[in-house]
Amino acid sequence: MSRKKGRSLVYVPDDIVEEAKMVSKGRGESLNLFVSNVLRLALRANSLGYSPGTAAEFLEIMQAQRNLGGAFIPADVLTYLNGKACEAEAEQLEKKWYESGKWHGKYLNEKFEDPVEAFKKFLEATRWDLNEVLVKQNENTIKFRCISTLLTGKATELLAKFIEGAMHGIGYQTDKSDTLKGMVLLDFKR
Amino acid sequence: MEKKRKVRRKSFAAREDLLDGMNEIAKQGGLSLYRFLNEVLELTLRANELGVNLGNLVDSRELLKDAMECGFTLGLESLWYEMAELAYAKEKNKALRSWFDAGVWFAKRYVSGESADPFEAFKKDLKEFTWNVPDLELNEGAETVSVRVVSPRFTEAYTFLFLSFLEGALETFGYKIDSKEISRGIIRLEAVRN
Repeated sequence: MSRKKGRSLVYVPDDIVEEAKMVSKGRGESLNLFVSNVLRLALRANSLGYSPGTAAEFLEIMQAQRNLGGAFIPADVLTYLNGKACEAEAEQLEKKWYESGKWHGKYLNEKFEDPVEAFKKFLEATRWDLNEVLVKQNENTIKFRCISTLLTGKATELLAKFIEGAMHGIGYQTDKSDTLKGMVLLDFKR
Repeated sequence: MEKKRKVRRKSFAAREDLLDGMNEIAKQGGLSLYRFLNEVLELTLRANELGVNLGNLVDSRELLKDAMECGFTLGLESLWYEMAELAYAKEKNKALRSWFDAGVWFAKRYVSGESADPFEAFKKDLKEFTWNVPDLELNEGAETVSVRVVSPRFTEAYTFLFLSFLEGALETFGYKIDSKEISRGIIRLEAVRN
């Protein structure tokens, strides 16, 4: 890096510079402005705890979420809906979570090279009520484990249905299923 | 021994303060500035391919963080509507109360916070958390607030539940609902200061 009057020269591979030139031109920006904006954003992303690698993954997950029709709902309302509000319609509710998961899984399967990993990242990024999302992939089997200290018993069951739906949508079948309040343990096979 | 292929490099100028910041981050991650910069540029190009502005990515991350702090959960819109339908059909008043209370809780955060303009902060966050609502307008006058929500995807039940959420929030800000016009997917509210 060489320095001159508050500006520094940095070296990057030729192909990246060429592509960056094309993008900046397409946006009607100079390469210098484009690069400065990118650096500023990278610093902002870092302050949010994101490295460029994790930011790239997050970017695709969020884009998929918007395409899928993601929406926010107050967490207390969701607790209410998951619990007493739909108590009598438990079976119907489970079916809705399952179908919703299945649709999600089918979409991820079309969109991502590794849909299981994408689904794991989606859960980590959006389900902040989960303390842990663990996915172990073997040749033909997948073990899913989610732990939460916040989920109610019913909410845990519905999350399990959602995960099952998603995995079925991706192309797996349930091998073993075990849910306890705040804990989902699921095994899948191709 | 295989010869190492030489990567052609080019140089460009960038602001020194930004590069110093990048250098710091690269060091923290155990990377060279060269490698770190390349990762950042690759990310930008990948974002461009996806038709996403990198700024939106950072905004999305901030949005998720804010939503989490404000007690919101992200999921599929269609599922929320279906669940709302079930709850509303079963126990309408309790469902409305649940949304009303959520509105009160959400607004309390701003009313009791330290923002210079709590209503503006509330409005900004609400607009962000309702990214699925194509048209949401909240205008605060000297003693009044007018609200307009247009969302063709809202079901009838969800329209009334969202209205209840807004009523809870506005009451917490010290407003009383003066008039309202509701039909599926459309909410118009006028509120006056108590």
